[in-house]
Amino acid sequence: MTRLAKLEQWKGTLNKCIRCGYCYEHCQIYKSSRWEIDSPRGKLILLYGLLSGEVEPSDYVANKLFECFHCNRCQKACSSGVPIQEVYADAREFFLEAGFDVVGTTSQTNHDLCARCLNCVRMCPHEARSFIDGKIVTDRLKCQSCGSCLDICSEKAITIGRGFGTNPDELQQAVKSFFSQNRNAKAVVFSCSWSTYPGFQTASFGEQEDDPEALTLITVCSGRLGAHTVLETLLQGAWGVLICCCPEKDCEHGGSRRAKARIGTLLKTLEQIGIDPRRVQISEVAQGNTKLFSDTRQRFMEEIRRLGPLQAGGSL
Amino acid sequence: MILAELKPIEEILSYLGGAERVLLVGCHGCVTVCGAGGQKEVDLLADTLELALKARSQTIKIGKRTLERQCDAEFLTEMLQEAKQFDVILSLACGAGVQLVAEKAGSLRVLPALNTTSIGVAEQKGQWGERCQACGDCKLPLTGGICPVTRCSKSLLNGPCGGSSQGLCEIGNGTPCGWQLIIDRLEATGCLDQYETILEPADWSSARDGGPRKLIREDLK
Repeated sequence: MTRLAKLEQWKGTLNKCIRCGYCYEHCQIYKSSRWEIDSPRGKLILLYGLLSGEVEPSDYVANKLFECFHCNRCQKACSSGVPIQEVYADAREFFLEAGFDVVGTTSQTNHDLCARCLNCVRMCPHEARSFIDGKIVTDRLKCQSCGSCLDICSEKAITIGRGFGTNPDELQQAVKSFFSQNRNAKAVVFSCSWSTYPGFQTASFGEQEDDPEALTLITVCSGRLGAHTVLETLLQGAWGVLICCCPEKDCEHGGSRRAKARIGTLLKTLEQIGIDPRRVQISEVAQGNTKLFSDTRQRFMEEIRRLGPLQAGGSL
Repeated sequence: MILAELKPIEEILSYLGGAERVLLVGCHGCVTVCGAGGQKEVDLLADTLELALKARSQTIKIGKRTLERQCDAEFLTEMLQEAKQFDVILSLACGAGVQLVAEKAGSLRVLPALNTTSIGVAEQKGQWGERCQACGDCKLPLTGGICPVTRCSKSLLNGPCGGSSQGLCEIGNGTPCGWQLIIDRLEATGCLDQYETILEPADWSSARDGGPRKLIREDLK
């Protein structure tokens, strides 16, 4: 157990966790699976067991620790002030050094598909991707699972193994279900985990989770939302799409800037094909600004209702 | 690599006319590397076309394929079989790829979705720059590894001209003066004396001026 030495320092800190569960609702991983083991609290208990010898180190445990979107909301919500991300960081280091097979939510590259264009290496905001021995390799400690590389790849060679509802195919599936099950469905709001989502979770916005007109989906960082997903959403029958991102200066992943550039190009395309560009909007919402999120969403929905459905013979 | 970018969608739509069955064909080569014609771009263009026509109450059948390279006939075979079910092939390859597909597609119309812009390199993330005009008579050994034909806006073989100011070319846009780059590079590599050599007028017959060029390798036949 000497290899656990670095983790030993956190034993007292782990004792501070009073199991209040305030971290639960802030975690996209837990919100998606609803399993205790996927919550920050569950992971701390897992580490506690590891240190007490009641839990054996394994690939399973290692992967749990690497399943994280690094939004840090859990740490901010912790009533006991446990530095969750620091504890995770040491645990991850231990598991990698011990040679466990870890993927978690880190981005992975299918080498058979990869064109070695290196665009993902150059743009990774965390310098987590490198070209080594002819392959793109992810530094799993540096990767923050922001997913910025997902839409960069022209070969669709980059994946995040478990997206917890945030991978492009999961988002598209959720959109498809929403429009097939709600007769009043009108719009989709893609929301960044860092800024708007915490506001979305507060009590006054609780009802929006069941809004039959607008589906709110979490994208982790807006920079990972591809134009393809937006177009697919319109093709599924959405009257409009709203993307809420952090102010550029606040985004740790450069994602807001990329999202705005991407959507800007898309808007020009929509205009050229005769579709009112007001149907797709991107808006900056600072972390915790629940009022701005609510107002933006409301304004957008009013505009979308005015524009009506996107259909032949109707308003474009 | 060959650099290319997507044509404006309204231009693509105007070429397509009333085609109801369109096969989109991407290329895993250069256009994937510069993010213009890979699988992702094929998907994106397919969705855009579908949305454009849906909004006009028109129907469109779209097929999608991305080939290893469109500039080698062997990679086209399967795609051309599938293409028989379509009215038009819309190629997301460079101009060379589009032309080879058109040569092999018989009576089927083949249209380009991209504008091929240059031969160049990745300068930084999300930015590529032209480096070669394929003149067929490489001057790089004499110019510090910087091409005067490409990097000098006037393609001067003995520069700079009077339009060079503080390292920049008079055409603006922050374009560096190619000859300033050459002189700086010659100096940095201790070869500035090469600058004294006057380059003879180029024989442009090896470039485009000699008509379409062929490369023949008997040893590979």
